[in-house]
Amino acid sequence: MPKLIELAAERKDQGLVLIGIHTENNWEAMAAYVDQHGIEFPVCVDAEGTIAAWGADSFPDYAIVDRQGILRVADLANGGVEHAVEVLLAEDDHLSAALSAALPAEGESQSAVFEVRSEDSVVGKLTIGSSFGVLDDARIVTFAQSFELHMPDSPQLSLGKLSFAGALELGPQLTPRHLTVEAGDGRVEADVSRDGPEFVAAWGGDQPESRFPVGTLVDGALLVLAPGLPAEQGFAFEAPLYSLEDRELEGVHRVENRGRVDLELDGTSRKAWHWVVTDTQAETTDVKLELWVADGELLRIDFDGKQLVRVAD
Amino acid sequence: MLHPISIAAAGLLAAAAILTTPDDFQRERGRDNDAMKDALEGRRPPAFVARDWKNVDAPLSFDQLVGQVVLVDFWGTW
Repeated sequence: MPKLIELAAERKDQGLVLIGIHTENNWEAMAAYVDQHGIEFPVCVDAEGTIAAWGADSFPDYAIVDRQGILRVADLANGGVEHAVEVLLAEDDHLSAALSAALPAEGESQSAVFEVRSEDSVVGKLTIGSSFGVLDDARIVTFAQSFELHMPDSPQLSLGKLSFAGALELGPQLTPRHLTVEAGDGRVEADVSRDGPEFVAAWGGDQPESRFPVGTLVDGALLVLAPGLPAEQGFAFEAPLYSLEDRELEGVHRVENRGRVDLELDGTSRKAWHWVVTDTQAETTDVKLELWVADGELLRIDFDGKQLVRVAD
Repeated sequence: MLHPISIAAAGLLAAAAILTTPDDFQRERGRDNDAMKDALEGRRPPAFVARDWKNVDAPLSFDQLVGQVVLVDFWGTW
């Protein structure tokens, strides 16, 4: 314990927080021990089986959580505590790094052009500009994408230019760490702060910026991926869909991965991930979007009964 | 009208990839619940429910501690 007290004091300024959680067994003895040994770091008593849930089974046991809030080691060997603390303190706060890297340089972006086909005739054009980066520990992906959809005969389906950029944290829970969406004069940001994710909306013109929470990461986040990472057999998750103007719950956004399928494209067959995105809204028709992606490349998009086929870079 | 969030989500998901990084941390293993310990790693930690906090004004939560390294010491007095 004296060594630990020293470590906590020495590394506090570098961002180390030490928390002692005492067993429920003999907890009454904790306060006296803390006073007697001059323990200054936060301590508490286990309630509801926290110690067991964290995998601790002999005492003392240690677990360490990194700057991203990810549990990196459950039951760290006592002799390995200092090394793990050193390594994790040296890691960047990748959230900050991700935010500053979220908008890659113009030249790094690639674009793809899709023709919108309906019953074999070309009815519009979609241009997608994309740029992706992976931060060095591969935990956070940064992205910038823009979409420009023009359909001369169906102006109501034309998007004009819409762009978004941000950072996405990978892991068992796929969560947005930062997201900015721009369309016309408006701008919407999803900001995952210490208090939970919230939207920051700038409506354009003279209107003031507004901030409002979208829930917690678990119970109502912009995107929550519950069952795990993409597997060959696919998975699905749902998230609430908010109307940004009146700030009311508008419907359900469902994203489904149907696994890897064979996609016939211009006479050749490719293995591609098949995604289906559905927005079910109370008073409007469902919006269904299907995508096929291989090696990070969008191969085909279907929506609103039309097929979008990639034509040229 | 295609909802902007749909496109955003579709784009994000298209970009997602799985990569893991090996580390050189020493783990205590060799008991019955090794698989459980392994499964806990690489994700947000389980709920931390505690009472009788000392040396802090209010109970700590991991949401508040993002940006810092948190070492949890599971201990007992005998």
